[in-house]
Amino acid sequence: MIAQEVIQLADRFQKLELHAARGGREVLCVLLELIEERSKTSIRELADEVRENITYLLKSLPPYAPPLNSINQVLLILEEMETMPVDQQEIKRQLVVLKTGTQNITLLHRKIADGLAEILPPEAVIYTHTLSETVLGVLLELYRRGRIHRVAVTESRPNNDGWTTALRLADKGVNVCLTIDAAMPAAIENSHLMVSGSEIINPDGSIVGKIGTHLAAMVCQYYQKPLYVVANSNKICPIPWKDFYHNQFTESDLGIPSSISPLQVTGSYFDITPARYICAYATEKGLLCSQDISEKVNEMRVSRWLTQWVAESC
Amino acid sequence: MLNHPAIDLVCERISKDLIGGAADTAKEVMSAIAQVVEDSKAASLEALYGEMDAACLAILKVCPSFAPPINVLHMMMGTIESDLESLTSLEEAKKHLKETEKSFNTFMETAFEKIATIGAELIKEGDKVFMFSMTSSVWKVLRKAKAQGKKFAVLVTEARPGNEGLWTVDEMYKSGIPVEVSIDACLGELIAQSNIAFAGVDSVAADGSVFNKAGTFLSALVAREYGVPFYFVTDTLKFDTATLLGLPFRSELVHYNEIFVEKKYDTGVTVVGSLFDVTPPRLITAIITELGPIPPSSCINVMWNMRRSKRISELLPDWAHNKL
Repeated sequence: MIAQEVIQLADRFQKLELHAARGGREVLCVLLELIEERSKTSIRELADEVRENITYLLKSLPPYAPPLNSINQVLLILEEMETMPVDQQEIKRQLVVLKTGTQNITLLHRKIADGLAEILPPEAVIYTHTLSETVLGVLLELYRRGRIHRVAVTESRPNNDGWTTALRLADKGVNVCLTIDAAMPAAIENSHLMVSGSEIINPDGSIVGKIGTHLAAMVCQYYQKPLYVVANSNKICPIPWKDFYHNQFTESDLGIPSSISPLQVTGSYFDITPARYICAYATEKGLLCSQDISEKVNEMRVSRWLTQWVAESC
Repeated sequence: MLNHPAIDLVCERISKDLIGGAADTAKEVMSAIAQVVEDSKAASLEALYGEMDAACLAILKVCPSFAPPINVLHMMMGTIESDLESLTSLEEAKKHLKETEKSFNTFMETAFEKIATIGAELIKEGDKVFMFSMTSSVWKVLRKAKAQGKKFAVLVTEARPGNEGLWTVDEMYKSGIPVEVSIDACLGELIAQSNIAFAGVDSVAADGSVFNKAGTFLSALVAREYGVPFYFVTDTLKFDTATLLGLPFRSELVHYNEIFVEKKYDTGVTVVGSLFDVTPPRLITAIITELGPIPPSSCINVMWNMRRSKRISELLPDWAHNKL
């Protein structure tokens, strides 16, 4: 049986109302609630119901690593518990430990800012595209430390997430410039570096990001400006998720009425930026290179059930 | 000195942005100056030159950064300067000016047909053709290819903030050419699946770089990344001879209300950026003109062969810096 909370969460994912980092936390909360509410006769029964709910969630999940990693961690705990004689209370205890570990966002942003601060020039002018909770938090932390002169943001169509970034930064006193996506070359040329959030950091170091991120990376390379991916390490995804992202634009994304019907609208919400464009990954574990990402992925465990589900869905 | 009513009219129409585009502005400027010549009561060639000089100055004062009307001024003033140097009679000079006007009109009638034919040859059966923003010159190329019986599809992005890309969608739909549209941030995905890319031109510089709607440079950069040939399509009237003098392109800025449409924020966010950008020559495969496909490095040769006026060249630095 699919829980109402899971249905609601899936709906929010489908509407892209949740960003990646928050999505990871919400998934964990919903799955924890689900497990707390159920009192099944056996762990196997509980695990089956959780998997049924996870399957429902996965079908509407955008290419976001944090929710996928949250799902993976829950599944790993369940798989472990299925092989040893423990009660459901132990599962709940482990999930609470898991949830507690994700709570201190401010500390996370500070740690990421520590690494980034080491490479920032004085009076840094930073370009960023779209909206990322982590990038926003880290930029505000760097501004608090007096390390930022100006931030340039592109609006990030179709849902103009860049406006939110610009408005939130300006609200805290940061000197912010906003421009259209097509004018990103000038914004990048006049900046010292680009920082980008990511939805997923793939095992090969490539990132899945909001559409336009790859374009900005090309421009950075053209002007020889370094691109730093700013992300929590839970964006590192050991699962080959990029093969099945499917969020396509619709006519309403253009936001302008057209006399033509049906209007053939094309394109995806996300793109993939290859690792060769990325200078480093600023995470709470320090500045990482793409090889570090591969090593981290090798250390990560992936649920057998999830591996199989992904293989069958691709 | 009072200007001819035709000059006052064209200046007003330029100032109030009542003329469709650069080519139409050039036509109206040519027609107005030709009218000055035709109605002139000047008793000497010097006096006619003075009347034309006043007319050109009035036009330059209101003229935006379009190369075509400036080139028209070069053509007409260059013609009379040449006659002044060779001590031609007033009547003969008027005849030469009439010939210049006629030659310009013939050029305007025939150039685009030649360009369309040359451009259409580049489109192959089954191609996906990326086009940035809107421009009638590229539309003509696409319609020509369609008329040749080729089946192809057009991919276009909206081209914020004016969304001119949607005009292209309308035009392609009317012409029966399959078209798909996306947002500007998605042009990487669109160009990656294209075989060829086209864009229009606002101005071509002496070094072969091209000034056009913001997003053109980005399109050309992506095209190079994916190995897709990137062509500009224009007549040589858009070759900006002011750049031979080292003058920069004049650009307009993006305005606050073009981004925050109908929304008023008071948060300290500054809206920046230009409505135009410059595509460097190394990203350009060729510029399709009535003379044929021209590599960017040859643009300067074309410009050296265009008629230029000493007087207009003298005025352009002040025009470029809004000091006229």
